[in-house]
Amino acid sequence: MKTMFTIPMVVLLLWTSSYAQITDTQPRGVEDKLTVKLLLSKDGVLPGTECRAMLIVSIDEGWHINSYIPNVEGFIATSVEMERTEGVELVSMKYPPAFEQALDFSETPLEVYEGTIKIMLHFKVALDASPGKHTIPLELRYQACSNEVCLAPTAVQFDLPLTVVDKLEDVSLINQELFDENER
Amino acid sequence: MKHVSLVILAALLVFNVSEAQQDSAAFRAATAIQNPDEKLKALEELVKQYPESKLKGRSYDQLFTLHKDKGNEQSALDAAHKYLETLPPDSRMSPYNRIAWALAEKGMGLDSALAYATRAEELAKQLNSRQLSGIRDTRAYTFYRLGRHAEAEELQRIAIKGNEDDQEFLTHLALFEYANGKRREALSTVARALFVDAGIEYRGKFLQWSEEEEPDQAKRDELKKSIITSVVRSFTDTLQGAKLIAMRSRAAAFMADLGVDVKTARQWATEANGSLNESSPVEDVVNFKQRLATVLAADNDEQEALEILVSIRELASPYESKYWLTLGTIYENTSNTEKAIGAYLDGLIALNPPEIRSKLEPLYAKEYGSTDGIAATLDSLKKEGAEFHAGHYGKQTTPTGKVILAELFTGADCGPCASSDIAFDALSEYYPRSVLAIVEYHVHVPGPDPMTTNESWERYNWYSGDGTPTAVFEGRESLLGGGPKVVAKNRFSVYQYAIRKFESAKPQVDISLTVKHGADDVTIGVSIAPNENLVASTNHVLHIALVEKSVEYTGSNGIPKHIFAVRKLIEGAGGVPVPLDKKNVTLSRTINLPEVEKSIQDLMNNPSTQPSWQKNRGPFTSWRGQPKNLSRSNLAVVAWVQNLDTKEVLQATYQDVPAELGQR
Repeated sequence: MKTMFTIPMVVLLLWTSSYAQITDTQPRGVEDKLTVKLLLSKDGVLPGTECRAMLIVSIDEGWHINSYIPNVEGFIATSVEMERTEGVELVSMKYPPAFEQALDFSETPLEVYEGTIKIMLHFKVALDASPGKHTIPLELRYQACSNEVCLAPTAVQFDLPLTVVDKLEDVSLINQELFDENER
Repeated sequence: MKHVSLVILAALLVFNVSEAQQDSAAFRAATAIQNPDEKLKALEELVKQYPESKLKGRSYDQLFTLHKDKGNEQSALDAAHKYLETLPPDSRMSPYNRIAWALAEKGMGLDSALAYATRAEELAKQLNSRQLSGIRDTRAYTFYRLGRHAEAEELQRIAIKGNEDDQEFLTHLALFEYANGKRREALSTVARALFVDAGIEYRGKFLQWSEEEEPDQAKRDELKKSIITSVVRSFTDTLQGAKLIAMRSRAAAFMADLGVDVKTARQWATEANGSLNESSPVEDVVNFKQRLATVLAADNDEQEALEILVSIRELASPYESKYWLTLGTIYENTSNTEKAIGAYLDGLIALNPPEIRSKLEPLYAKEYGSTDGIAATLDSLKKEGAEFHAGHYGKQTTPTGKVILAELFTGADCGPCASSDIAFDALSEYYPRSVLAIVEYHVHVPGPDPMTTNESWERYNWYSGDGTPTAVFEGRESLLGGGPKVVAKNRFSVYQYAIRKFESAKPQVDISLTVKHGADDVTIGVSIAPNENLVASTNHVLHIALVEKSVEYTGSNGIPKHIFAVRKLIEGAGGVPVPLDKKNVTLSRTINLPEVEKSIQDLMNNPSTQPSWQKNRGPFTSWRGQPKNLSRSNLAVVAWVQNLDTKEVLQATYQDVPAELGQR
């Protein structure tokens, strides 16, 4: 069994806020062969505190995308990228373990994702972050193949809406069961 | 002491690596075993011998299937449990669903099946997964198998939302409605399922349930007609033009198959067949003709039906199960057992659809005494699909002197491109270069390909590349998709069909090419003269491609040799404009071969700096091979004039670069 791994991130800063259990991701690009949805662990974030997000990627049946670290050199990794935004640091990302699939055309089983996968994002809001609603641009980059066709690498862009609050009573935990199960 | 520690550490590392290699070897050996009992034994031995193996999960997964197939309920459940335990909790949703379905289908371990399906549904809801509907369908089916029919139907009505035209959801709903005594509803639902290609067993259910609902023949015919007409109208009423013709073609086969209003079915199927012309996509040709054959067979014209099906046999994709089933059935009905078996076997080359297998096995057993020979025959057919003799065109030119341009976008790491690569190899054998000029552009899709050039990538995007493999003929007929090597012969037939359409096209310009090979260069002289066939005189470009006739490089798709690989588009991806309102256009270009090699080497040494290299590629350290240098005795030039508005190729030409210095 492959273990999940954590990628420490220093590059990206992020304002985040969330209203509902399932965040309206508003994809801006074309979701080709998959759809994305976001869950947040809190509906508001205090400055200086942390929050988690879960990106749920549902891949169309019959298609697969490469894992975060493909086992064939130079293949396009599935990855999430964020635009630099002042005030928030992305602390880590966790990608799910890959599924080893023997494919008709490949002598080596490929490490791919199929079905539904979850990518965990863990971020921290800066102490001096000002309260308010913010939108964080995210991008999921991937490359999909079926048994008959390989598509060119592509990306789907979507926004993560976040609310930075200044009172503890304005923060509620949401989707905890799902996040806790994932952390086990 | 330190050295001893290092030695011990190294030894442990070697041991661990060695053990990992041993369990991998054992797993490969076990999974290669054909006999289920021996395979089961080998896998059980493996999990005992390598309890910490990373292949334990996959082994238990296979053990689950083997035990389930043998009817060993407790062993199957134990294996399933152990398999699931190897997975992180958040990765179990799909496996829960798959195991639940497998158990429910087998009618074994149903309480466990329900527990797994319930757990899968919980996870899917939490994740708001797109698989939620399918998982609910599994759970509903499990309820049904447990005899909890009302709950099954209730849940299925939720599951089917958004999937109202999915045959699997519909067939299950029909079963549940029937089980709850709602026969009329079940008939309507199963009829809709049949329209959207439900399996053959549901045809039987439709007929059986009709008889139960209306024992009287005349009333039953009326009932069937009413239900079928209602389903057909729900699909056709809002359509017009070509879409209506296509949908009526589909409806025709549906109606004929159920013996309803065959007269109207024949009219619609004939109309659709009549709408086919030279520019019709191959898919339409196969589908419309196949459906007409179905209608003709239902109308007792089986000989004519057979002729039509046989006429499109080479075009029918190994993935097109309905075609093979129809062909096999008509052969069976006309008492041609051997050919029926042949048709069913062809339908099993790429996929393993149960409706074909269930027709093949009894027939094969009756003919040959048992089904033992099926696996070996299929292996042989698969080999034929990948390795075949193309034959020869038999002429040196097309009737009009048109040289047809065949362009292939492919990738050495593209698995589905394997069949197309082999098919293009076969095309190059079949057609002389004076008939078919071939260029193959390599692109970094999905993985790095050392034969990629930046111009190739630009040209792929100019054609609005939808994926690889894409074959483009004469700039106008674009065929997307391939598959594993076993479908290569089908791809060759489909490409040949596309090429035939252009054989009688008239070249709109005359191109003459001179190619001279200097010490380090190739000088190309091109002369273009418009002729009386020219349609539009503006917005044309000339492309000149330097190709290497054969490059050896084995990517992850296993293809070792690549023909007519484009090494340079001399005028860039955009070509050079040629004003055809003038009488003649001549130009000369000299290509410095070391410069071409340098650009190849630059691309291979620094691929990530090239425009053709997409962002976010994983780490890349080395190529599998080094096709950096041109094989100078193995070059050719392909030139063509293309209309930028219509993408039509006016004429193409091919010339080998002479191996010796001098002029051809």
